[in-house]
Amino acid sequence: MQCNKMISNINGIGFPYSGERDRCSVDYVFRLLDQLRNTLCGKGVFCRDAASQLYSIVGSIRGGEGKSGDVGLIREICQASLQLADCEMTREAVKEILSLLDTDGENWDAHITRRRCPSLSCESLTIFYIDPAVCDGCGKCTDICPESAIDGSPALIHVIDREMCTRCAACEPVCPVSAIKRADVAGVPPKTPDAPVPVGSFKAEPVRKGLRKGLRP
Amino acid sequence: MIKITIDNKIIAAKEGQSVLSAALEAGVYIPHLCHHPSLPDIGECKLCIVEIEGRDGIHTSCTTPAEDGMVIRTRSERIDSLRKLSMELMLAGHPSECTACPKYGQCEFQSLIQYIGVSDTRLRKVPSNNLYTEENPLFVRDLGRCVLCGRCVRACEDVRGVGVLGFKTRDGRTEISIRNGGLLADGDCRFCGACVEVCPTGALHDKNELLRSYGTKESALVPCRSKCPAHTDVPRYVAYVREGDFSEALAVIREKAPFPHTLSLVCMRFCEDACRRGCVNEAISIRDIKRIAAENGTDLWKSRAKSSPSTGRKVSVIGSGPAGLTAAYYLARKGHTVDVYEKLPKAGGMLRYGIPGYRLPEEVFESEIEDILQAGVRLHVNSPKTPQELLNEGTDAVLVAVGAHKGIRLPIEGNDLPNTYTAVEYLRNAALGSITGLGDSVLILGGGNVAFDVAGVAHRNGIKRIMMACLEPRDAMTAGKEEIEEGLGYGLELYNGKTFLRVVQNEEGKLSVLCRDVAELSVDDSGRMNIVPVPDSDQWLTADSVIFAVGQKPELEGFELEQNRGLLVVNGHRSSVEKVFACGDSVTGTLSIIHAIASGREAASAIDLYLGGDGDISEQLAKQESTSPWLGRTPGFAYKERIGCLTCDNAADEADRCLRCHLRLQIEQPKLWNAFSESQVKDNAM
Repeated sequence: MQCNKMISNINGIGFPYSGERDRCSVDYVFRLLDQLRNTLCGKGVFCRDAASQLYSIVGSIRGGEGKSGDVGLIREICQASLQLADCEMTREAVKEILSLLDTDGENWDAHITRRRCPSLSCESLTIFYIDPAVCDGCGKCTDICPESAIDGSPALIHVIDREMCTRCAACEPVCPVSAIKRADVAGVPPKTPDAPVPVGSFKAEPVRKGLRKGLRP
Repeated sequence: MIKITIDNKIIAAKEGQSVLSAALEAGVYIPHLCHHPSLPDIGECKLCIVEIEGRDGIHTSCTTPAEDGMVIRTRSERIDSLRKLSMELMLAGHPSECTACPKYGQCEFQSLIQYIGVSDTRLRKVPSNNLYTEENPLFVRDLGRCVLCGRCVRACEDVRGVGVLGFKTRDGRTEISIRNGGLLADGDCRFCGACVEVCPTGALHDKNELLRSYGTKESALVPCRSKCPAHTDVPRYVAYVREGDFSEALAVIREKAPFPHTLSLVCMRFCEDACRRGCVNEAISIRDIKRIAAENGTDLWKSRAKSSPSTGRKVSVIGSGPAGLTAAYYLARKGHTVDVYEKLPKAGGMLRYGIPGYRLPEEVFESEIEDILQAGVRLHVNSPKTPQELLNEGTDAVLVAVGAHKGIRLPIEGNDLPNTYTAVEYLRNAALGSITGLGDSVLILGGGNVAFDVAGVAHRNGIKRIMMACLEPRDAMTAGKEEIEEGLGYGLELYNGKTFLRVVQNEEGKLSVLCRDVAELSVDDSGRMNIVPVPDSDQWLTADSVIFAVGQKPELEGFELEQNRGLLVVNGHRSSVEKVFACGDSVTGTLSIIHAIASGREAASAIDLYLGGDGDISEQLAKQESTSPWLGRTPGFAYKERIGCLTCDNAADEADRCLRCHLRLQIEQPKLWNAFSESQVKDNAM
């Protein structure tokens, strides 16, 4: 009944995780840990419980609820797992996490102390909105939204209800004109119509690049 | 011999032993959780980590074999912090409150929390699977309390070879899952309880209500043995029958009772009522398995029976029923000269004169009595004796084992009219071959097994109409279920919930009993029965004869021994008169054959002690081999139905239905840190 995820299994499950690590290291680590905890055999404390704990800590950082000691805690757990995990896969993963804490510390600090995701990758720290200047009213986003949080009819500019939106990002990839956009949750929300209006009729200024830029850390 | 140094203390280790086992054996405590003395080690909890001089890194002592000259440190800053972190990581997924847990106070995890000194405040609480289920028989699964040490998985797979349990990861959470996902029964669980035994927390525990009425853990876990008045080693003889070794099986039964064949036909089988398999589907046919052993086993046991040199002491036994003969047998084995005095023409007591021959053929108990006589017991039939007479003749001890042969008649008007009998009279006459003419119809008053014996004999003697009336409602009758069903099968008319007021004889000579319906029946603290009748429910039941089957008491005329409510008063089998002992139904009131045998054994032991012996009547007649803990997987095990009428060919199949609850007692109990010497623990507590 020994650990059964030895090095030979690693390539099979795609480690090192090949997600978009350039965008946000917090989000990347979060997804990596999710994959790790679902792939483990579950027998060892420093694989199973360490992965769950790390997933929980990084998840709260990614959701804007990180605490000041969290990076230290992540380091401690990762270093312990590096020494004691029997699983080669876990050791590879924690090595990766430790190196990202070293090389991308600023990004982690932004998440924890300012509750911001500079690259707008962490969904909980962003607002999704539909750019009224780009939307062509095709309705594909309304169809896919699992929460029915997008209001609109053919040829009307669609509107996301921010109260209802769970930031799942399902609408983002289906928009043929890339009208679904992200804004910083802590910044000034971009102006959008209160209710659907005909395409082309929304005269207010679209979100200014400058504003978005100005919110960047 | 290997010598290793742990924290500056030199200890001895055996070849191939792990550092952890050697340390624990030498009284040096190293914290551990996934290690269990009866299971293979996996080194996954990392609590037993140590540093070894000359080797890099940190090592789990449970998976490191001890080597001569090893120098080991169990404490350092690095070890302490990793050990603490491991506990914190496990605790993060465990409920914070302990007091509501059934393992509170005996939980290994709780004990480790105290020893290592951690709390769950530093890390995030991680949600765990909160499945709590009582839908499996015998065991409760409370996965919220599981720390995933994997002991249950190893016990099931590596020790028992069943493999019902496994690790499963789902939705990012690991849990111990059952093969096929659902109930233990559907995963081919054999309900041996090894998983429960090794669980360090309250995640797996026995259903409390099953254990509450037993004194010790052992008696609760092997109830077939503990509920047998003679404590017959049921699991052991069932195992021999499973292996087809009927002679060894018979020898096991013989270790506790000199009437195995008799018992295999008419025992009240308290073992089967208690059988834990009964909670899974149906109890195993223990009595019938015994019959196969008794019918097919050889006299192998005789060669192993122990005989003692003559002591020159004389013991006289009054009564040759199962109690008296059992005592006589063991007293003879202990070297005493034993004479048994029987008032009636033949030996056997109630075996012969109480139990009808169709249930217990006389050749069965006669051959067992023959074995007892062969051990040196002398039998005197047609010899009514009183204790005083025997003492005057110079015996060293007297055992009164006269049974309860006096039938009781209800204290109602007309209870002594012609054609009224007691069950004892009727059954004895039948056994003696003198037929009691009952006429065409009979009314039996009473609803116990004796009442059904009477009905069975009457039926076989051609009585056309057999009626039975008793106080209890159908579901509270003391007779066995099978007896009741058999009676109803041949047309017995059963009247439940009746109280009886008087018996009258009409002009044609028929007897009528005035009955009244019972609305409520209760027994108060002093044992008095309170009957609340239904108003205006009087009715008559009429038959040619009436038989009282409402209980029996001992016949003790001329015995001059202290009695209470018609039973002999004893203290450790000693009566009120010096040198006079008593056992069996004359002391306890009517119970069962196996109770009489158990009582006879106890009395034999007491008399042997009294006569200067050691009182030890235990014998080892069967091989005492260590039982293999391996069960293997049997598809559909929990659903295998009870086999009713066994033959040599299918007895092993029925015996294989045994859950082998006794194997659980082989599993070692891990010692908690507070069981280790105080000074060592004090040095090491974090």
